[in-house]
Amino acid sequence: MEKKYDVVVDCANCARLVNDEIKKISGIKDSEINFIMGKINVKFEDGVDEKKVMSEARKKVKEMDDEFDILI
Amino acid sequence: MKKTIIKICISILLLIIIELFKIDENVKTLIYLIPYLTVGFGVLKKSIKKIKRKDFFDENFLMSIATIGAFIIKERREAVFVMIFYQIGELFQKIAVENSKKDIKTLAKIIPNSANLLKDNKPIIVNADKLKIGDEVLVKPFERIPIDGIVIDGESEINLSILTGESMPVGVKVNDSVASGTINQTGILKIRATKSFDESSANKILELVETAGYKKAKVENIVTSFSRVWTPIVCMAASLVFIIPNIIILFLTKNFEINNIYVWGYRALCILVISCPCALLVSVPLAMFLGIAKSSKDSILIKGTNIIETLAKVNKIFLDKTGTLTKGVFDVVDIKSFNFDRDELLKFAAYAEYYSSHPIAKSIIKKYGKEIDVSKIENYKELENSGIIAKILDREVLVGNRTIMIKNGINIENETKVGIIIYVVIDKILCGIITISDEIKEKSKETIKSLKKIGVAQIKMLTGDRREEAERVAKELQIESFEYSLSPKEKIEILDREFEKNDVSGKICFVGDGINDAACIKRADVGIAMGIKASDMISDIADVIILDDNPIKIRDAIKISKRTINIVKQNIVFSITIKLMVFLSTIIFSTNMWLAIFSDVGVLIIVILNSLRVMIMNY
Repeated sequence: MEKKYDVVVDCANCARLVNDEIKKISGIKDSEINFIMGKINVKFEDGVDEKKVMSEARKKVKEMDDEFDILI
Repeated sequence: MKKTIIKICISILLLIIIELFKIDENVKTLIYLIPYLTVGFGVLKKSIKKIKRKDFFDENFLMSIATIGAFIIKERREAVFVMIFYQIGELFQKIAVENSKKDIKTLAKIIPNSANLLKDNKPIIVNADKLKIGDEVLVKPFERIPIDGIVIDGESEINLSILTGESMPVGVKVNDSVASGTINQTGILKIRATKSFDESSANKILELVETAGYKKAKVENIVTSFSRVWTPIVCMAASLVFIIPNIIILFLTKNFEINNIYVWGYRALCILVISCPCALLVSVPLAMFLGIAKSSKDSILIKGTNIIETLAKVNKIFLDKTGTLTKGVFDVVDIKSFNFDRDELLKFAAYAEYYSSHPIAKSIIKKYGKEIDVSKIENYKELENSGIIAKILDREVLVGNRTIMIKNGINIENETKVGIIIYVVIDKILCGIITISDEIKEKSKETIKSLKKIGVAQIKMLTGDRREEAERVAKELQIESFEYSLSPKEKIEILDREFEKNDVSGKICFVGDGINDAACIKRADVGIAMGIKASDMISDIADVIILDDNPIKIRDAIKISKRTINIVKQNIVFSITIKLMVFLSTIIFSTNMWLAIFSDVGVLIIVILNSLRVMIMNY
């Protein structure tokens, strides 16, 4: 399954770092970030609860910088 | 953003004021801290968080270390400037990105918000995305059509400019299909939805453009990988530059001198300033994105930045004929009559063809253009090969192609004229010949010429039509190479053969419009689909969709891609060269922080401006 979310990051390097971090989260197969559109495309593993995974992702991203965010 | 600008201005002002006064050495640090903190407090705060997370390669952190270090070795003015320029660079980046987003956001405006849904013939306003297939909606003048569908009542003119760039309105009537996002102009229309909101034209187009950024070009991935190693390497280098010379000097002279710490500390800090690969990370995706934005402005949808890369390398183009180079609409181009009135001939032909739904029949009826009195058509009979026999105005009329004439024992000359030839026989006497042909698109000739000019080595036309028709079009368009009477399978085989002999660097492009081209569009390195009319399946497969059906956009797409890739290359070479030069000169010779600031922020601003050049090109 694939889903798109809006992300708030303020620089290209940060976007890269955020994407690297999100890829590590369990339940997420792959992700691609589009810094300029401010969007992230997340591919989930089969059968995971994507809401749960994304709230985990959001927490992680917020930890990196509280100005970053993923709009779920 | 405003806040940042104000902070930058205040701290510059403070700096100027400080420079005007002679300040005692002991309080200098304290005084310079005021503009420093004004502009850099946010950065410092962020980097403290980074330390907690042990994330040492963050640019905020690196800038903080560089500037604090500068304070320690009493280069306070530089410290403030590094911070100011860092913020200016960030600001610039934000402005550039925001502005390019706007190009896409104008596109987002084509998405209709609300619709007048008809329930028991009364309109109620609903969100457009609530519409379902089969729903009937009312569209008033100057409203956007909310959903793809067919007109079930009313007549109007529709402005298709948002989809095709064409500002001339197009007339629609009952049973015509309409696309979402287009604007109804003159009349009230009742429309029945034939697609869901998500599948409708406007939404699909926006989604295509939005997702284009995910499919990354190779060069983008290289840049990302490069920056992953760049920052750690530079930071390592900075610490080595500080430690090694000091140890060597200490070892050689056995004499500790604070001055050496200052000298090498300064150099290490300069290296830290250039450690952020921002210029690369911003400018490459920005240029790519602008390439997509620019082309979508010109009604060319490119589905990913990876396709920009491939398009720039196209050196062989295969084109379908009907619908791509020609209009795919049949028109009567010649009427020849033998001892018979020309208009009368056309009248008989039009009457005979009245019940036929074949495009050829339609073109004859269109050419006749007058009302047809159906009561005058009797004993209508359709023959094979779309021939027709009927009693019209009490005369026996036979129309059809050569095969039908021969079968019916009509003596005909061997006509060599190109196009589709329809013979008209009245009372068993051949009275005239109507030639029907598929009109060549206005820009086709220019397209072929300019494709040759921009360095496409091979241009070949592939068509399922017969030889005479293929020759006519090829000659008119000056295409030297073409193949005719091809089945879709044979077309694919031609592409396959081309792939076998093609060298790796050149890419193969196929342009087509119909379902029978789907396989070729998929097989080619770059598949281009012509026209918003191109069936949905094709637009899903195609890498590039040319919305306005204009073949010249093939050239434009290639030109935009070439320019985008060039700019990307310039940016990469420029920013890496400058950074490496500054890096090396810092280690080998002495340096100053101004150079480091330039190679960081200066380069960033230059490559962003360079990327913006993608938008201001003429073809």
